[in-house]
Formats: sequence, structure tokens, C-alpha cells
Amino acid sequence: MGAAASAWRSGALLLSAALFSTAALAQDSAGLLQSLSRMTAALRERDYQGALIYQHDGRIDALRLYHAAAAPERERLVSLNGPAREFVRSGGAVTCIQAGIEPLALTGEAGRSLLPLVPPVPAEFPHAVYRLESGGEERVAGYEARVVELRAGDAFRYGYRLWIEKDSSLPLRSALVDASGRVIEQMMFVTLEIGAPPHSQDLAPIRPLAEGGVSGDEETALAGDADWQAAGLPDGFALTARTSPAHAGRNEAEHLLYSDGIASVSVYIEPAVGGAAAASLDSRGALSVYTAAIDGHGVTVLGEVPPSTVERIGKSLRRVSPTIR
Amino acid sequence: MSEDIKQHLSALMDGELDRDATRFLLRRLDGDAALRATWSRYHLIREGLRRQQGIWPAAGFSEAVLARLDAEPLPRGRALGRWARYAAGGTIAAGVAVAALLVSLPVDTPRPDAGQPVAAESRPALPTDTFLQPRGPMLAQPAAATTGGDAYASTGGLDPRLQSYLIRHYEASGAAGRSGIAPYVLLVAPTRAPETRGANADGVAPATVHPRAQ
Repeated sequence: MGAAASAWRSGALLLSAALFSTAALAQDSAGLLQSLSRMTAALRERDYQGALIYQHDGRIDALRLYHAAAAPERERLVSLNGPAREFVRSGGAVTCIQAGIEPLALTGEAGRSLLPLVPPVPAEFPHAVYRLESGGEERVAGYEARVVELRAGDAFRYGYRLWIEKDSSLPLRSALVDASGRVIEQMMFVTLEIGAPPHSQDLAPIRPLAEGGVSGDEETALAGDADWQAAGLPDGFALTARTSPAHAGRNEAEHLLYSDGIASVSVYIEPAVGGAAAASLDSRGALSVYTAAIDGHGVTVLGEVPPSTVERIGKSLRRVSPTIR
Repeated sequence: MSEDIKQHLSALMDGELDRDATRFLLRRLDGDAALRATWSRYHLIREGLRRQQGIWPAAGFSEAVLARLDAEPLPRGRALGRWARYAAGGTIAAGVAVAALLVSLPVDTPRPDAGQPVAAESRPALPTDTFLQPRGPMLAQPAAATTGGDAYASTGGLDPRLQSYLIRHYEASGAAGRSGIAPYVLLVAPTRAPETRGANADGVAPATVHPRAQ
């Protein structure tokens, strides 16, 4: 009798401990998600400037970043080593400038930082395929930082480790890590000045931009049923956009964008000529690219995901509507 | 190294060196590796006395040098001076950063016997100079065609098709509010003007900006 009561008490204790830890984890996750949201807002709403290093694809680059929050939000990212290169953003318009090359205008999203390795924080966080954990506290660039781990739930996507400044919520350091914890790319501020708006000349492009137009390749959304489908998408990935280059005819080229809420993968399908080439899988830093010939078309799948992800998506592509319109 | 210089270093650390002497010492630090080493040692000693660990004294040093360089009058044209300053600052910053990353590597590097996931195992170890190069005429010229130029050829850059794909991926993922290719990657290799997009033949640099929501 005594033993049964003791077992019951132990069971109840374990159950309440489990419930308590589950509730604590949920609360912790909500707090960490709030930290990420504040980070995204801080990148947009704060004035800051600093020097950072960016380690990617076996190389280390030194960059300088200027950001002014006053509308229109302005930002400039300058490469300090190698050929002179820089990015200038005003609102959602991004211009790439490089010595000897004509400036290239890109259409971005207002508030999308030029800072590398900053994950987006979607309105509905994909808890099914990512989990948030606290990584403690560390000191970076002279500031106290809270470490937030955005862990991938499987090997089909990368996770992030973020060092977020306690007061301003700005990211001081970020690392893209694979499922085994290996760092794929990382960036880190070496110096950062928070709160002082940069001088206007520091936000101006090194070369003035002429009127006219070298632009990225505009795309238009495609309506109707998709001609191509990826049957073997890793968990969490879904089609979020289907477009075609603005000047391309229907059936000539298609661009499918798949996303799991954090990472995104593009699939490009174009008519093939000159015979089928062997499928190939390459990677460079965080970028993975898979190419293959499928049903008379050349297929390219790319994204900042592990190579196995682009390969799996590429191999599962099927043409579902072969009719010519 | 004279005792005077060492005393000046100590005074600089304590913030007690006057402006002219500070300026002189920073110039000397910039060109004297031994003096910089001494400066770092002084900081390490101080950190040790305070029972603090860290590698950040050098970061403060580079910041101070950058700040002083920013305050310097520029003898040449502004643009050249600015890039020269960036180059100097970048060298220091990169040096500091490499040290910092090396320190953190043991944490980030997996153990040799650690099990690798499927994704990691399949990561190809291809030489990067073959990656991103045109692979032959498998595809028709992409819909977003780009054309050649001397600058591109001389630097042996990115496959123009892939360049186009990267740009479109960056724009599409941004429009969808998703994480995409870092913009910096787009310029790791030179970008060329798309011929079909109205690049003018006289080489005038045009720029069309497509602001989305402001």
C-alpha cells in the first residue's frame, strides 16, 4: 500500500515536472522569437555604422556598413579588401557598384538589410522544422550579447547562431551552421557604433548613378496551374511564388520559389538545346546548385541550403502539364 | 624601443597622452609591428591583472586607429583617400577578426569522429575554380540573357546564367520575405549588363531603380 502510494506520488511529481518544463520551454521559445523580431526591427529602425568581417567559401572579407533609419531608410555596404565593391540601398531599391562594371539595380524589399546571414522572422514561425534555444551570453565587439540558436530540425536546411546586442537588439555576429554544428559561413562586427546617424557622404555611392537602366531581370507572376511540380519536397517546404522573366514567352522559362519560412530554394526551368548534360551538384559556401536535364528541359535548383536539399528537389521535378498553349 | 615610447604607450592606455603625442604615436603604431605587439602585450597584462580573458584589446586598437584616421585631413582627392582609409582599416579589422574566428573555431568545428548527417556527407568537394563556370551549351541562352565583356573575360567570372539566376533568386526571395542569397555574393564575381535589357552601346552607365514599398 505504502509502495503504491509512493509510486503514485513519484509519477505525479514526474508529470508535473514534465508539464512545467514544457511550459517553460514554450515560454522560452516565445521570448527568443521576440528577440529575433526585435533584431529585425532594430536593423530597420536604428542608426548604426561599423566594420565587420564575413567568412564565406573559405575566404574572409572585411566590410563596412552604414545605416540611417530616417525615411527613406538608407544603407551602404562597402567591401574593404579586393576590388572596390559596394551595395547601396534606399528603401527597397538596391544598387550594386563595382569598379569597371556598370551599376546593377536590384529590386529588394523595403527594410531588408544588406547585412549577410540575418534570417527573416516570418509572421508564422515554422516551429515544425526549426526550434529556438538560448545559447547563453557572450561579449562581441565590446558589447554584451544574448546568443540565440535557431536550430534546423533536420539536415535539409541550415540553422543560425545569432549574437544579439542586449540593449539595441542589433545582431553583432551570426553563423550559419549545418545539422552537425559545423559553421558554413559567419559574419561578425569588429566595431559598431550604435545611435549616431552616418554622414550623408558615407551613405552616398562611390560612383554617381546615371539615369537609364541596367537592372536585374524583372519577373512577372504566372497564373493558372503549374506546369512543373516537385514531388519530393523536404518537410516544411512549399511553393511560394511562380514567375517568369518579364520578356520571356510562356513555356520558355519558369521560376519556382519554394520556402520553409526561413530558407528558400529557386527552381529554374528552361528549354534545353545541344543534348542532355549529366546532372551535377555543386556548392560554394552556403550556396548549393543542382543542374539536370529533365524531359527536354534544363533544370537548375539553387539556394542557401545543404546540397542534398537542392538535389532532392531537383530529382523530384516532374512536368505535369506538357501541353503547348 | 625607447623607454619614452613605452611611457607614451602607457599614457595612451590611460588616456593621459596629449593630442599631438597621441597623433604621433598612432602614426608610429600604424607602421611599426613591434610597437603594435608591445601595445597588445600591455593590454593582455592589464586584462590579466583584472582577471579578464579576451582578445578584444586589438579591436579597440583598430577602432581607435580608424577614428584617428577619419579625423585626419585628406591630402588627396576624397574618393581616393576614403578607399585608402578603408583599405587600412580593413586590414586591421580583418586581422583582428581572423584572430577572433580562430579562437572560436574549436567550438564550431565538429569532432573528427562526430557523425555527419546525410546532407553533410553529400557536400561535394569540387574545386571552386570549376564551379560557377559555364558548363557548355546544355541550355538555350537563358531568358534573362547576359552578354560578354572584356572585364568579365579578364577576371574569369561567374557563369552568366547562374549570375542571372542568383539575382532573380535574391529578388524573388526578398519579395516573398524570405532569406535568399546574400547580396554580397552577387558581386563575388563581376556582373555584366544584360543586353536584352537595353544596355546602351556607348558604355554610359545607366541605372534603373525599382522601388517597391517604401
